[in-house]
Amino acid sequence: MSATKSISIVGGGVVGLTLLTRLSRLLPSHTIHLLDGSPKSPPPLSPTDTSTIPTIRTYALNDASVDTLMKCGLDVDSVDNLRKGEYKSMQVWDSKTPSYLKFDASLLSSPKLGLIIEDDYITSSLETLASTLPNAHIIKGAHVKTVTNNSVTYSTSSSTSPQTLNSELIVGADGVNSTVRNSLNLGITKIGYGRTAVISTVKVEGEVTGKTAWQRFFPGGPLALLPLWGGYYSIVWSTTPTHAKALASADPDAFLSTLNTCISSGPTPIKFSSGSSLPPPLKAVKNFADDLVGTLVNGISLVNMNEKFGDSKRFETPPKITELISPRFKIPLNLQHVDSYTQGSVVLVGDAAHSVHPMAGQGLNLGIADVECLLKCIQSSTSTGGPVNDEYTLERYSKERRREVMKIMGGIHALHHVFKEENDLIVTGRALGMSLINMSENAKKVLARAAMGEN
Amino acid sequence: MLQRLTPAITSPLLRLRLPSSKLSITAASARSLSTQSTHDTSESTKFGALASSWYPSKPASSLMPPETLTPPPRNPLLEMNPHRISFTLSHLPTEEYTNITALDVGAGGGIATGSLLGLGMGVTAVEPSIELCELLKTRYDDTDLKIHNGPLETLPSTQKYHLTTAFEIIEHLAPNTLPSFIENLTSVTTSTIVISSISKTLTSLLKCKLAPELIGIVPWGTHEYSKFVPPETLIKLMKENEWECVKHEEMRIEGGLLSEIEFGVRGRGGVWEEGEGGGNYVMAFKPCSSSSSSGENR
Repeated sequence: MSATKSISIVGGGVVGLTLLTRLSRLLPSHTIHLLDGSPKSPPPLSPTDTSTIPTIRTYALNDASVDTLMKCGLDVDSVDNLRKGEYKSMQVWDSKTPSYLKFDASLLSSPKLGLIIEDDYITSSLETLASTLPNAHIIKGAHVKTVTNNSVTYSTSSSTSPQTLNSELIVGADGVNSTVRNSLNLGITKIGYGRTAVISTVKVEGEVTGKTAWQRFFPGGPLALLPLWGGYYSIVWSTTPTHAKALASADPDAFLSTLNTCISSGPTPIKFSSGSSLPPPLKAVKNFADDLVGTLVNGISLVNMNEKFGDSKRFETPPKITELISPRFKIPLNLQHVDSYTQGSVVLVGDAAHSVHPMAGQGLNLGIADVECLLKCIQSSTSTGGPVNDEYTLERYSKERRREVMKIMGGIHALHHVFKEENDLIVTGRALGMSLINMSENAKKVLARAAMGEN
Repeated sequence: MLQRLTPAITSPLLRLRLPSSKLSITAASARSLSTQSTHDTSESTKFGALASSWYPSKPASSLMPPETLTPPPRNPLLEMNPHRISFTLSHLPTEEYTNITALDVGAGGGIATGSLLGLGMGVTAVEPSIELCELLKTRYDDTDLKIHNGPLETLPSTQKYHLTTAFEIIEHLAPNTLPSFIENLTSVTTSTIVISSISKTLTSLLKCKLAPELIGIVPWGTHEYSKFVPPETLIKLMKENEWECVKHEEMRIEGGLLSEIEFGVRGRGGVWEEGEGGGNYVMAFKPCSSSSSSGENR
């Protein structure tokens, strides 16, 4: 096959499929191959069918990602989509202080803050869409062996000899342990979080799903309860590996009751370290200061709970979880970022380039934003007669995305540290900070806009 | 003047004596040893209150998220224990530990007691604090440990022990009762006495009292400098009772100030060496007559 007019995408996840669909439309005269490691497609899920229970893996999509999927031809936000979880507000609260943050879509005069969508639903829908495009080809069960500047060698279970695709442009969308990235020895900066997430699907009392996403922060990480539909919620609990192991292997009833205990409690009055080992005079001073600061912190957070602020600021208690409907999976969390998103004619998108803590629900959103940015750059080159693998264009993509991703990563990493801290001064600072931000519409708007992918 | 146990202390004892348990707890009953009470009630109250934090605590449920990510303050006794046990073992009359009867005076939460039990010795723990006796009972419920709730002088003197240990005890006695305590210690022992304590020097004031209590490794007020016992005082008192010191080691920290800080924060780096100059010391004693024949003297 000629190397010209051919593009290869490695990785058949949501990011790879989004890119395939978008690129095939943008460059109708190019042949675009997508090499997918998994041999089978997930069974198609109809958006109007709510009789099958939700699949375990879900994503939080912001408005920008919903727009991109819409451009692919997948209307996830359609009123007919009964398998979408829509959240209008998000409550974030602290396990060690009474402070909380409540974001409401009304802040941004928007109908919602985001959507929670099943991975299997987006993947199968995008595969179906891609199959209608004449220049898009999905190769299932393809194990990529080597990647060079202009070729990808892979093998499939159906043919014994390895095959080579010569391509003008190769895109690595093959996730955290990217083969494309590894075979090109692209530099990467890794910061281990030392955390593991436990994911699962649950059902709540009343079989009605609300419009609030909940996140309670413990020192080890947040416990998130994300609304799906029909009384189903997705659980993402990021915590220490030991705790995650205990949670994943616990008896289902014990797991459920722990979930309920942990998500339903709060606001928690602030507690300071006892200081019992201090010499008596210092202990008296510390006790006095603790009382004073504790009263202040608890008082300020009480102001937030005032009725007159209405639901947009008030603390709400999450629904009671009654049933565990899926197995529990453990996912080790990493923070990593490649030093450059491109080398020669190879570019990286999505988790292959960056992986973040799931606490802000930004993982897939960043990947989809990569796709949009890459498309914009390629289009600017091809519309002026340039090649799709124009070095300057790809470099521009790399720089632009690296800068954007760095901002979000920094924010998430800062949150991780702020909630991890146990020092009394930092805990007090975070409690006061949260309460004050909760009172300030403007501060919340800035944060909500960043989370929604707007600039 | 023997201090009689008050009903408030004896009544929980009765509660402790459960028929299912192999453990036996004897209450202080008959006056048996020396006449003077070495028991400082403020000390046993102080350490009794520490019963719950004697050992690193386990979370109530492994399913609840960790409340705190930093490990709780450790008990420095846990770090000292391996050395003082191996030191003790090198001065026993026999290596058949199962044949040895041991008396652990001031057993506390039973850190050393547990090691002696684990080696197969028949152990009796003497501990004046009722809270700590209850801790000993729950912790060693499945062993043959005998627990005596009360100070040493209330122990019935019918039995003698091959080995008697008094780890970190003599600096917590009632004032001016050390001679009487030593007399009792020697009168219940046949072969070996091992004592560890804190020296009375400027170094020990800084290293064993001020620094750990200010940093918070041990609670404020754990030790009183005035009660520290210089090693020579102990050697002299033992000599008066015809027991001889066969080995004397003190703990030093090598490598200057930084190592001292590292030791304070992480509890590592202490080296036990023969002779004086450290803060903590440990000594082994043998009866004067036997030590010369065994050739173990220095």
